[in-house]
Amino acid sequence: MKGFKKAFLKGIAVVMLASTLLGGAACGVSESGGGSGGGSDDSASTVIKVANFGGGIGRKWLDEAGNRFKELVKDKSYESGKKGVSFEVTHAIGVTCVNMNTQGYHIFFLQNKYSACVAEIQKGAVLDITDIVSEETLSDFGENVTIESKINENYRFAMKGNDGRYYMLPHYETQSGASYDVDLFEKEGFYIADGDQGTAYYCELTGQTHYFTNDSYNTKSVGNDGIRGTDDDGMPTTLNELVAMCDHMMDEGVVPFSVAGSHIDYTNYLIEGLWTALAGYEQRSAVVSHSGTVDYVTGISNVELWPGTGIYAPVTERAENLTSATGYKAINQAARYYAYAFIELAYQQGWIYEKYKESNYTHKEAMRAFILNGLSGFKKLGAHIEGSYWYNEAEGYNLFNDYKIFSGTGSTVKNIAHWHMPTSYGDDVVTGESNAREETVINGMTSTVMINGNLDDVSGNEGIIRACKDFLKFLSTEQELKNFTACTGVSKSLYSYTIDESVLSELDPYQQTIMRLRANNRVVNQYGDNATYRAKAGYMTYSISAQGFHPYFDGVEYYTPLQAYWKKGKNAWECFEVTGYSETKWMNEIYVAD
Amino acid sequence: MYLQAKGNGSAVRRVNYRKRARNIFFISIVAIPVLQFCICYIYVNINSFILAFQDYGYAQGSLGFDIKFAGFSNFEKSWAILSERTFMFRHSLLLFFWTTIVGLTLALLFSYYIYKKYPMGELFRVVLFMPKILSGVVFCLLFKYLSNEVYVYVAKTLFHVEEVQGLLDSQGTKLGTILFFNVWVGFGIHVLMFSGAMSGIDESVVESAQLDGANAIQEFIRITVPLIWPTFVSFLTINFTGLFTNQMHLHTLFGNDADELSTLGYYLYVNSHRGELVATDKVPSFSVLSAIGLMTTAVMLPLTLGLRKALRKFGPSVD
Repeated sequence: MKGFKKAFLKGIAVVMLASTLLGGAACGVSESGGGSGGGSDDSASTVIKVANFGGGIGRKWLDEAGNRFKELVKDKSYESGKKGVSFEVTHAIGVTCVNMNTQGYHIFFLQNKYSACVAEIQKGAVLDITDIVSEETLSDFGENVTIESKINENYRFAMKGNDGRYYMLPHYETQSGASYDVDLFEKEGFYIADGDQGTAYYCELTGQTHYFTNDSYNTKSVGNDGIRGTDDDGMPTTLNELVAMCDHMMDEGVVPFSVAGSHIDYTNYLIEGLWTALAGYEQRSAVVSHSGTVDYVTGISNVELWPGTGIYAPVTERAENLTSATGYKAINQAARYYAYAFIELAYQQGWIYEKYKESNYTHKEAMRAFILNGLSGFKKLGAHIEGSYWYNEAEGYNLFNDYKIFSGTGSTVKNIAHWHMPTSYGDDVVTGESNAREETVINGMTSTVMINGNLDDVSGNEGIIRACKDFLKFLSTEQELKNFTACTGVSKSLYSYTIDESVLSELDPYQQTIMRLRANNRVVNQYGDNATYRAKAGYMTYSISAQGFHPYFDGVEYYTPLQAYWKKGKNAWECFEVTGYSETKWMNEIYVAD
Repeated sequence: MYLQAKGNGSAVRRVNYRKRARNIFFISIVAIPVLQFCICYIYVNINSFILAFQDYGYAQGSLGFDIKFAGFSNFEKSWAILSERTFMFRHSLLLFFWTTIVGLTLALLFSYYIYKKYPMGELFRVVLFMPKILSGVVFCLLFKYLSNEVYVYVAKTLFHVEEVQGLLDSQGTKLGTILFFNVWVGFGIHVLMFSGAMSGIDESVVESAQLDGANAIQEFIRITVPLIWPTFVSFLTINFTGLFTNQMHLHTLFGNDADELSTLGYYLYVNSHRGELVATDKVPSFSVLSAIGLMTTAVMLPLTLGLRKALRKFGPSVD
């Protein structure tokens, strides 16, 4: 009995000790970046551990680029006794730069908010890559230029730490707004017709008669660019045209917009896209640059924008020569108010598919409903509200295969296009090239690439660091930038490279419309080169999760104005006011002298 | 033992060997908890205390931060946040009332029912403990679908209600549904512990009370509750300490999007996830969040100690 007790205790001690050691071992694995993912395929090569954000654009591009790089450096030795490189990829939605120096990955492809990236840089957690960005050329990969020369010079500062050195490279950009069903628009005649022919539709909201295409008259209006035969033909160029279009669609039994209930904040993508197009490049950029001229709101009038809606026109003034001290006027700009007002109207009129009220209506279901538009019992929806990355995610979920099955077309390619946004809140409809307007677009997120600074903390990692840096250089070559877009249908942010026919031909129709939109118009990137922005970036950077789109009432945060209209009974003016700034509030809470 | 061993070399070795084995056993048992205590309690709390009095800003012209002594400015900001968001306290107190006051009382009654081996008692035990077998996340997900999709489907198909929203989507039923969920999910463990404690009650005490003519209610109030009172006090105290840290399962059910239902615990959890050292938007900095933590600790510590003392002093007795 005594012997049994002794053996029993001994056994427990061994088990406990083993569990302690295993715990330590597990920590060790985590520290060295074991994690999930691809797994390195060659122990005799230098292993580059990559953390790739799991949403948005997927990992296919990374695997393909990695294979090309492997092939290119297969005879090169980065570490003693090893030849070439191999990759260990972790592709997960939880990939983040936060606490980078305690993670075991070498390279991070991220979609964090900018302030989080800056915080890591300032902590010293990110590797200085100034040498490969501005000092070395890409000659090893056949180009005699630096990475820096390829990055938009207006935004190079954004990739640097406060010490003026480079720590990040831009990754991808996505456009905010909505995507519409081209076939549905053609079939139902929702495009705005050229002139006063086609289906006449009197819109009570605008008090005007608008003309839409039909089977007998299919000549579309010229769109923002004023040129016939381009992507924006038939799409609204003024806010009232957009209102009339939605009203007409609703009249025909089609709900104009749909957004996921589990991500009601995606509505902010539509607000952002609409605001930017209405504002134009200079005014929209002024939010972060604190320069130029803006039309800003000083109060609310008693004149209704659309009769009977209780949505009123703003009182505006023009502010010139903005500085950081008057930067609040850019945030209070009229275009932002009009975007809020449109969403309130959409809420009132039921132009957003009612499932946004259901928290279980996920983004995947919303995508599926839009892709299977009107098929298999699904409701007819005009457009899907989300960032342009949604298309890649839908492909990842294999949703276009459902379309192939249910549509009977035998094709996984659906005719979808980016919804071209109106560029004026007045009545100045674009009729030709003479009064054409730029349709400014906005990059809806911050996506960057970084190398882990902890590689530099201990000696002996020189080879891995060099391999990581070479990989980033390789990814910045013209051909790799093209390959990236051809694979993902998404453009690289801030990089200057040519998206030519060889790239476009690889893309689906939707992705092509995005590329042409981006090529023909300027893109606003939300980086400001001033002390106020650097200290308080979050207050003036707009994205779905941005506080600027999240009105607070009675201490409760609403994730989009739509939610405040719906749950709190608030209106556009109230939401605009609480997300804007008075001069006093700005000077006390936000402003930092340069 | 020691003296005997001193005169015999092999015995000394045996004693030392035993001592060493005991030490290894002891260390292997306590090493991880002690390490965890040092990191997760001592380090975190000291760091949190220091943070509450610091203000971080980015260094200009170099990497790093400008760290300044903030005095009580973080506490002022915390106070402003808490004053504006009083609904969080209301939700925390509601949760405490339903899960602890109501939930524990019901659990006591159910446990007594099971303990007395009344009909289907064992079935109740299994059914009530079932949620605890499933992963919390899985159970939350199931509940979410039951109270939204299934509820809407049943209302529409069986009761032909045209306009109906899920229980967790409707503004009118959301909070009540979550409170019910919290009571339900915590019920099983309470019942299990109470019925376990009750099964340890000496049968002779119960028989004696019955011989003296005590009915079931009298037995429950005068015998059962006093004898398991220490277990009840433990539960009450533990739940009370979690008054301002309990998240009400909001994050599992809604992610970061449940601000209108926030408890203080949920607010701290979500914002410590979203926050940074330097606040560049409305999300409070870690310093402000630390100050909130200290303020609530200052309130809860004396209250908890007081409650425990009061429960022990004024609790029921078997005498």
